[in-house]
Amino acid sequence: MKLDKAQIEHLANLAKLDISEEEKEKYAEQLSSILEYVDKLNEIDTKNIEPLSQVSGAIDVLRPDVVKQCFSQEKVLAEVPDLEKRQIKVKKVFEHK
Amino acid sequence: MQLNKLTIEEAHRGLKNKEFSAVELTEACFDSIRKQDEKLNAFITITEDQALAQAEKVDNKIKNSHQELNILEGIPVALKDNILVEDIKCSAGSKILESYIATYDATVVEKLKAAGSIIVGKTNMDEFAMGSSGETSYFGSTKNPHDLTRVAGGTSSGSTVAVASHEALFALGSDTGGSVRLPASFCGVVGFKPSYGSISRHGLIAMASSFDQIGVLSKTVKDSAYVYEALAGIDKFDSTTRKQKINVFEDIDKDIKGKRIGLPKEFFIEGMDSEVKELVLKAVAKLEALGAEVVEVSLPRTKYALAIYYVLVPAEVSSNMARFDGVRYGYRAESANLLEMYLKTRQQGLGDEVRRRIMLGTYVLSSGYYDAYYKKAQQVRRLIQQDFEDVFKKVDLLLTPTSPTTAFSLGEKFNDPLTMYLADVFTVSVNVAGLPALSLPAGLVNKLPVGVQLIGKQFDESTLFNIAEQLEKKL
Repeated sequence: MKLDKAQIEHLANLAKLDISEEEKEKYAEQLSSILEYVDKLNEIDTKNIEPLSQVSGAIDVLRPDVVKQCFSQEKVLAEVPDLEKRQIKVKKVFEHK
Repeated sequence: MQLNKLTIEEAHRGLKNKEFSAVELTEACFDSIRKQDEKLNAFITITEDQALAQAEKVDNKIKNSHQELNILEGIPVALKDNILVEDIKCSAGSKILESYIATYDATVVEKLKAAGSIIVGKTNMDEFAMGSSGETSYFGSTKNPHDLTRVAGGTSSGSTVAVASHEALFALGSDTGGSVRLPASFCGVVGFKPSYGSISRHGLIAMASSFDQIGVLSKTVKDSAYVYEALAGIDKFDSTTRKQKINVFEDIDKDIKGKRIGLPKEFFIEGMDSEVKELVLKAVAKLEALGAEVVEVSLPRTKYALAIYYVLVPAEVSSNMARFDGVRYGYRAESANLLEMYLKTRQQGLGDEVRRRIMLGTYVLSSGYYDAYYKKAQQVRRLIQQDFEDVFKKVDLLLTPTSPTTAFSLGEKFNDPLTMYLADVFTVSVNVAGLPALSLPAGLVNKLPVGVQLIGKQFDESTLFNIAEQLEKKL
């Protein structure tokens, strides 16, 4: 599978990465060569094989839904890059017309 | 006596018999860090004040009470910088978390603190544990102590070098595809990765959640067993922890006569360094001399393990890395609006390999490609797990090289991701199937360490430690 520049731009947009023109070319080439390597999986017949998503054997682990002591709010809020009155502040979401 | 060169067992005995104090032991580690770490670059953060305060507490206990001393009490440990220690910086080797201070203790840290271990610092690593050489760290590469022009191996590069260079008596790393075993092999120490689900991942910064497992770097097999016993067990904060800890000491000293060791023929391939192969086969001969029965076995789908690894891991990475957006913690880029903030924060805060995997993972999960890549890889994952189940009906343990080569030169593979990925070719299958494995130093080739990898049945750490311990005595 060979990826072109338009596909790389689409992926960068989905992944929210602001990649440069130079990187678009580099990633197109590198991801294509990795995918080419991965294509060998098609040699294996996987008809009727159940996908394996995790290996611990755990199924539907439940816990009681009760209120518990959690992390210190002060410590968590201290990590916020921009805080105002204990609210997390970010730049505007919509452009004004 | 250089205290920092002791094993956990030896240091424990010395502390108990009052031959030296925990403060002296800890200071010996910090002296070693001061002397060497500028050139090795194993540590990102040093926690000297807290460590010495903790050591004093242990010394007071030894002096004033007749309470039994825990095996890890007063023992200096280094932690990979993706394991959270409350109030201490935790960077995961990335710019995006350069000044992030952890808000809670990982479960393993809670357990180490309760056991009385002394945390000397946080160690260097490939960024978010993505890499094979230690070179993707935002804080620069860790150097191999056997040859400073070579890589230490990754991703637990700093933890491994800290142990190999006696900057700590043991260390914790994390192993997603070989990140404990590969550097252990390159630096000549024991690297132990437990079965998936034996040690809690709560407080380990996630890379690929269905593969990640916290592991141990130590100087001896028994030291790894002590740490395993202290850390293993079910944790309510990690619902993938499945097994109460297993008593691995009950059988560790037993002889291994009649144990069946399998050599998977797919791991002894053309193109493997011939001197590495020779050392591995010498280890096999030692096992035979100990009375073990060695048989050739086959894991027919081994060659697909790396391919599925590099589909499923990036997929999980792209999902796990979505939380790094500059909103709640970590680096935030200057921007005019919210979208630009996401784009620039992730672009500036994350390194090349991390972004490459996010892109790859986004691709294999994206509409139209999910079935062809992600689902296909999950199906093959089941087949690989079955291959191991079949083989473990015939043998007690598998033995392979840990890596086809010794440590490579810094920069040698850095610009070719696929070649770098191939460094993990012998280690990833273990994570694909969730098995326990251990890399044991087997000798030197051209003054560089070589490791043999022992692979056990899921949750059969007991047999793994038993055979590793008996083999270690002969190597």
